[in-house]
Amino acid sequence: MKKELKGKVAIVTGAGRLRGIGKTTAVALAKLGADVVVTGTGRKPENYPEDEKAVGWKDVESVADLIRDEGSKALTIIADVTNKSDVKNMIDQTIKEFGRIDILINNAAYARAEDRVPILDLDENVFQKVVDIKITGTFLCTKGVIEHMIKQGDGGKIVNISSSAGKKGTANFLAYNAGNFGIVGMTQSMARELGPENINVNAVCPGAVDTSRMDVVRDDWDKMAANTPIGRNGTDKEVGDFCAYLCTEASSWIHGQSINLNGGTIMEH
Amino acid sequence: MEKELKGKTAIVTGAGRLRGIGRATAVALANLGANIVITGTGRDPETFPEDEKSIGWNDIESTAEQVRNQGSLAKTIITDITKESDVETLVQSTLERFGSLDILVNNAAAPYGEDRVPIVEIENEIFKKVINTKVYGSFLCSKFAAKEMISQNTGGRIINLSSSAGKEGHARMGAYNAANFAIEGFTQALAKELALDKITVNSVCPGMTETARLDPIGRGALWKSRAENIPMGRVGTDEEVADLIAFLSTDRARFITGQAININGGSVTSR
Repeated sequence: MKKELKGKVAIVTGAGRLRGIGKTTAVALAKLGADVVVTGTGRKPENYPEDEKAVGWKDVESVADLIRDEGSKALTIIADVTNKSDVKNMIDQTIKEFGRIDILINNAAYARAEDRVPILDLDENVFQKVVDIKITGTFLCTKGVIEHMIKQGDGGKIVNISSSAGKKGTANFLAYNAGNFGIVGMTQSMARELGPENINVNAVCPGAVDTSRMDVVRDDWDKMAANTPIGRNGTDKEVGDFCAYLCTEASSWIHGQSINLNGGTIMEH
Repeated sequence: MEKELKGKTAIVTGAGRLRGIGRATAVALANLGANIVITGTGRDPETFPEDEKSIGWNDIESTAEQVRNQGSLAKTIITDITKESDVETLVQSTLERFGSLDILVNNAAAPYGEDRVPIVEIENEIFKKVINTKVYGSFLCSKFAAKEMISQNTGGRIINLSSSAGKEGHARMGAYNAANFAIEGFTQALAKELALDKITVNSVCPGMTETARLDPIGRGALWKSRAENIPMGRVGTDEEVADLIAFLSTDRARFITGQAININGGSVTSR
């Protein structure tokens, strides 16, 4: 693989899990030569899944090690993406350490669980949390980062992680549907604004992907796989590789799109 | 770049032009290590655009040379993709020459021109030709290629060229809209049929791209104003479209199927 992102600096939010799209995207970007800043929320080690505990996983610090293994530099930051001063700190530290920002992956999301209930049972604080992390977080991070991209004057890449839930509504998905449809709309709006600055903005919409996020639905896992046309769920690496592709120079004419990556389950646009 | 497609064989239809998505795709796939079968219709050299004439461009033979310059093998075949016997020959001679068929890029299309008139004025034969080349041609090539890919049992890739015109209807584009919307329906159906055989089927929908195909609209005020209306403020290049097709051809893209992916600088985002 050519180091086509040599000299570029990326921020990947929500990249502390062992099995997760944030981690694989950070590693895929590092493989292409980018230096990578990874953020997490500072999860409590006692809440880690068993496989993380078993290998002595240390959240964003372990992801940073994987980035360094690829020969790139890494920086870890604990940040709540819905908190304006946290986001400012994340950007300031990135600039201080690396001097620039070229790539932003808006990956952070609220953990899946208590939001997957009928509307009547959906707690307003849970709703708020899901929408806030996804939408306000993406807004704040993007706003902070594009200021630097515009000043740098040589373009940039923003990839927002949406979902199949950003294309199609499903019962008991109210908050998650709202958050992810929101991302698709924001992606289109940002693309129209930032195109003239050569900042590409796209969203990626994965279907069911094997990450620790999905550990709460393992009972249905095989059924979900059987319901995909290709007969299996996706891997975090498959999504990470695609996010990295969208950050290369060659993909610069892909702009404003929300691209499905789901083994054929959803073909809606 | 590691040669991700080493040992793979690709067919790219309609790849004889100097400035064209077919040629660029053949080269991009060769750059990743694939051997390439290139088809064209055997254009009359007298009809070549000036830039092709001035450098002595020789249609698919010149594309084949560019493929060989990437270190890959190339084979050229004059093919009418709307003729079953031609398509059978295309697939058979691909297998005889390279031993497998792994990637099909359905790129051939009727030229831009007489079809761009109001529907009440369009000649029936012109309408049929646009649909026939795009839809029936992609069907025939996919049918014979997919049969082979299924029996090889090593997966495969089918990539159909659609267009922004496959997402949004426009006045004076009736035939082209019909053909490209059809490609997307066909892509979804075929993707579902072939998914368990590990054959992914996707379409790529470019917006305005700098190719010889668009020479009829010139490069004057109309071109400039259209380019300015694209959020990125420019038209695309054949290489950019080819690079997406090449990505979709790799193992990295194995979870992407049934999609119609826009590549257009942001001009169409709604679907």
